Amino acid sequence: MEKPSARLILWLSRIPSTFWILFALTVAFSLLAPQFPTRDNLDNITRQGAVLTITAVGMMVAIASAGIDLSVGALIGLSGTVIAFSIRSGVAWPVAAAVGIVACGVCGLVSGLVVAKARIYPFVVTFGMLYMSRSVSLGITQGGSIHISDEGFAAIAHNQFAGLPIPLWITLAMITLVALLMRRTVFGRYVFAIGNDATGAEWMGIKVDLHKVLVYLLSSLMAGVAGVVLASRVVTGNALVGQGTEFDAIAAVVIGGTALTGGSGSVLGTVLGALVITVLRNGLSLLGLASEVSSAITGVTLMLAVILAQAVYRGGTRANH
Amino acid sequence: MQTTRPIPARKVPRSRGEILASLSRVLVLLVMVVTMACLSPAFLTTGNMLNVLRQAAPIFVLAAGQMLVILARGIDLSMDSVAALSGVVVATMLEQEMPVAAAMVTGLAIGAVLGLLNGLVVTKIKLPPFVTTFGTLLLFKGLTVLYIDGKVIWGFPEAFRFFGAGRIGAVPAVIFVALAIFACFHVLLRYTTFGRKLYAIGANPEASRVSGIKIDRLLVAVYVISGVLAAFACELYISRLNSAKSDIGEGFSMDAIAATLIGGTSFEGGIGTIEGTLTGALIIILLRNAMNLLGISPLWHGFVTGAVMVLAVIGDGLLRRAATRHIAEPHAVREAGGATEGR
Repeated sequence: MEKPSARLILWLSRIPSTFWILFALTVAFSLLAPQFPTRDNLDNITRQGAVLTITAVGMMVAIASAGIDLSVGALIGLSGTVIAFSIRSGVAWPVAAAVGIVACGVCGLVSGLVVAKARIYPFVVTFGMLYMSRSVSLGITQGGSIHISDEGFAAIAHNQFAGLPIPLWITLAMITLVALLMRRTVFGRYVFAIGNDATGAEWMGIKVDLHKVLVYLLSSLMAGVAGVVLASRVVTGNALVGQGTEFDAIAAVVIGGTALTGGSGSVLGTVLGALVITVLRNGLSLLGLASEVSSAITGVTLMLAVILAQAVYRGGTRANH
Repeated sequence: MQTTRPIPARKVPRSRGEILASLSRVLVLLVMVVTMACLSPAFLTTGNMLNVLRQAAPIFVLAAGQMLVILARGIDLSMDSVAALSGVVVATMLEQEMPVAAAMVTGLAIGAVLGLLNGLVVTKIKLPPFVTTFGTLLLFKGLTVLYIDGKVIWGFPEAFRFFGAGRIGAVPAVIFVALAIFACFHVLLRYTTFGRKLYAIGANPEASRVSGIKIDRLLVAVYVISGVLAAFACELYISRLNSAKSDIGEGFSMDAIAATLIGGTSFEGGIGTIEGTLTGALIIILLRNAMNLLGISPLWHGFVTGAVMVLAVIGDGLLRRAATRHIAEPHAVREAGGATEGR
């Protein structure tokens, strides 16, 4: 029988390292900024974190398939502008929200088809889609913003359900959806297989092209949902609101311990990664630092997290030999 | 975390597919010029043509650096903030009435140091180039904001403004600058061992390493050159703009990557020419110019640039596959289009 202390250490070692980063950040900010550990700020963090978390779990799927989706930031903007445009045209807000998400889905479908059929790098395809979808959003808003005056739509981000902000419920639903897809369905197994070795997966009879299309469809739909949350929070449709979220999302995935080489991926890690970034940004802004400075710290955190992950990986392989 | 994959069979340096791909660029450029000449009388005038060349010059300078990095299977996302940080330092030095030459050299040196940092992280710590340059993109951006703090610096001395806004006869000076860089890159890539090694690394890093090429040293050099050119492009840019603030350089990496890929450089590494990159920069600017003349809102520039980029890469893939079908193993070609190498 093991000593209780050994079991405790074993149990603690199973907790992802990202959790400890998050824990350390939370403690540090609570000590440094008295406004940090308050209910209001916690609600703020969930609202700010919802957009990034939803986008990041979608991104995780793309990265797990050995791909990447750089278009998600622009798609968040597209979703918001399409919704704002539809509501201004007199469409009911639930329909408008659906139209916004579907618009993103169409973009993801196109990206996925080009990735699968033309066989060019996902980086290039989704980079092109970033350009194109942002341009479409700019065209819709004529370069400016469209105000959303619908109370019902604004309620999504600002109201609570069962004592918790609605964005938190949406985020939890999306996390659960992706976690179930990746861990409990054939789709998830196939995506990991494709990410590991696409040729091998093809030889095993997996429909690689179909699954690649589905991967980009999924990540763009997640961006669409994130766009709904963000547009409702800022009650405007603006092409540029999501700008840069793709990089934060990639950072969240990587900080969460998913390798960019594909074949693996953790939903829980990604959520923790997204929380690390959100808490970092929130805490640093409470300390009065400019957003660019907190971005710089995020950048350094990202690099350190990857170095750490690589060190752990190398340590692990060394132990196996 | 190395994934092994079959290396596509390919004739080095210029296969039939390459020649077809580069001819297709020239053809596209010609078709665009002829079409526009028919559609808009204002297009084929000396003034407008010089304008196109003047606008293409800074993008070409950026794309030349980006192309070297992509040739070596890397990517440099940090160009935006390398440019911004060196640009605000140059502007501050000029504001304090330091000599123009000293300011410009300092700017380039900062570009070199930041590029060196990228190169060292990629080669020594072995972070993927994507993660590295994205991290430094954010880091340098933060340093820029800390350094200049929302200030706008404007009004530069004549000697500095000459490079970006001056003219030699009727021709903007910046065109000559771009031509000089073009000539340097042509020689560098075609006639030096540096160029040969670069293509070798891009085509097959493992074989290059085994055959004795010092990959790390070469990669560091590539990132340094990319940093210097980002800094230089920013000097040209603020020289023309006559002002500088912390958000200069935004979109530099994107334009550079788009021009490089439209110019036929393979994202897979090892394939690409400086002539192609020049046509890539010209195609981007010609498209924007044509849309302006046709009265299409600049808001749609991004759509066209993105679509043309993806189409160019698809076209290249088709041409290369058609040209190498008889020598390449089908699965090798297929795989070449699918893997991401952890970039």
